[in-house]
Amino acid sequence: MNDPEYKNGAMGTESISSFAAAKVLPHWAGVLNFFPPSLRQLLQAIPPDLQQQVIEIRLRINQSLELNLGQQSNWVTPQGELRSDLASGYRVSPGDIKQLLNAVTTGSFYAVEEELLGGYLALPGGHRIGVTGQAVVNCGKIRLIKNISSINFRIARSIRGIARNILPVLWKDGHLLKTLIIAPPAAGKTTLLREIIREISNGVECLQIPPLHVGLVDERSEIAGSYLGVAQLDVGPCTDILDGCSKQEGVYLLLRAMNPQVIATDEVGRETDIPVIEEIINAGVSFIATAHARNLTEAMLRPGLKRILETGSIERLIFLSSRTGVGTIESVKAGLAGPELFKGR
Amino acid sequence: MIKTIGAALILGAGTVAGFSMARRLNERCRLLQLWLRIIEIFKAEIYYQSRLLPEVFRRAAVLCDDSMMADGLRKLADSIGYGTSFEIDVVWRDFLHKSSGDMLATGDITILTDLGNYLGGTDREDQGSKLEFCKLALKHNLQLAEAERDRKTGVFRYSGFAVGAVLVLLLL
Repeated sequence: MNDPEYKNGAMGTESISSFAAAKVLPHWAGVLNFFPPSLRQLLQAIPPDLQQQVIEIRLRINQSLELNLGQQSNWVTPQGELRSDLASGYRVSPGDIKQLLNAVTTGSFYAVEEELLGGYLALPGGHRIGVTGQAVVNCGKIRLIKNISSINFRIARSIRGIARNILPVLWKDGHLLKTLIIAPPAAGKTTLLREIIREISNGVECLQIPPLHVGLVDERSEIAGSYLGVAQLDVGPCTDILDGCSKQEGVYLLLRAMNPQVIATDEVGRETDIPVIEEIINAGVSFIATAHARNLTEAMLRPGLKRILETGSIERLIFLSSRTGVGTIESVKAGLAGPELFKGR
Repeated sequence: MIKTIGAALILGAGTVAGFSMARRLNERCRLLQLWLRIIEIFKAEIYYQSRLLPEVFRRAAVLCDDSMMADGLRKLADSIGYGTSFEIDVVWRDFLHKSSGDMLATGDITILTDLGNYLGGTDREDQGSKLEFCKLALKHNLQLAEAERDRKTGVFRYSGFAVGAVLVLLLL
């Protein structure tokens, strides 16, 4: 509510472009803290302007060390330089993988085994690592992942201010409109969702949005980046987080127990999500969610998402892409059949 | 006069040596009891609480009631934090050496070194059963150590004095 950037007043939708112009909180040093000294030394040499763009660090045994910068991938040389030439990259050894796993689990495999079964591990700071390796399957279910051969270190990013220009079109007659953010992978939809949650949870004085009680079902610990039950990323002071819980279970629990004004969740689109959304609407609660699709046409080709959109309950559709950088807002529509309220440049 | 002082010194040295050997037996029993307590703490923290190893070691440092061991456990916890480069068996062996010195028998050290080889590296069920196995093995060693202590403590104390006395008589 006391955000000086709001007090300055610039709120026009014409200034919406991408996350690139927004304020990215410093995070590289925090990321490197998880890496063993040998790998840390390599990654420390990355130029600061590129450090801010890295969204993933990928390690595969006997393959080059890869940095995902959003729109492109680069390879880290043994000297710590970034090259687009795959062959010049530093070869990740089995020892590097073992050391990194030791460093991120503090040698406590038993404490993270259940998380690893889900394929990822939440870390302090909201970062996550995904792993693949040899799966031990019993009765059709993965019981263990051993001999880990690939690690994807996904860097959590808090980018303040990216939701400020969208909020006026999401707020009407004293309530938040039911909103769906549609974007392809790695286009920044979770980051935008987190920022909208933070804004409405804080309240926005200049838009006369009071602090709202937000119930957040964070199925994969991606939105709040919870670690040991504590949110590592700022999702506002009035947000109640249900971490690691399925949408189906989580939404009912929040509605019964926490009386939220808004329910937020990530990645809807399955048939099983339809009754969940219906339940939220029947409870008279607003919601904001994200879905995977490149555009409206692709969204309508997904049966579950199509049915959700055709219910007519979605009042605002936000389309994101990576066209001019992660988080490019392509358009904002007033529902499936409604007019386009904003079109990106 | 010199003979008397010499005899007293020899008797004193023999007695001290005897008491020192008896103290080693006592110290081994005390350390084994302490280790049993630490293993219990490990089991509660790992099997029931699923805490990360650095937290487990810090909790054990608070609860173990031994300042030297607590200091070693804290240093061990610091050495395996996020982003550190470590091999748990190597840091564990170092910790064992510094915290228990040479007071434990080879068999005790072998059991505890084995614990370091698998600590943290397997799933929770396996950690629980291996800690239980370690506890049983240490308990068995403790029983043997207590029997040895009860049997030999008096003998060492008296024999230290007796050997000193015999030496004095021979020298006189």
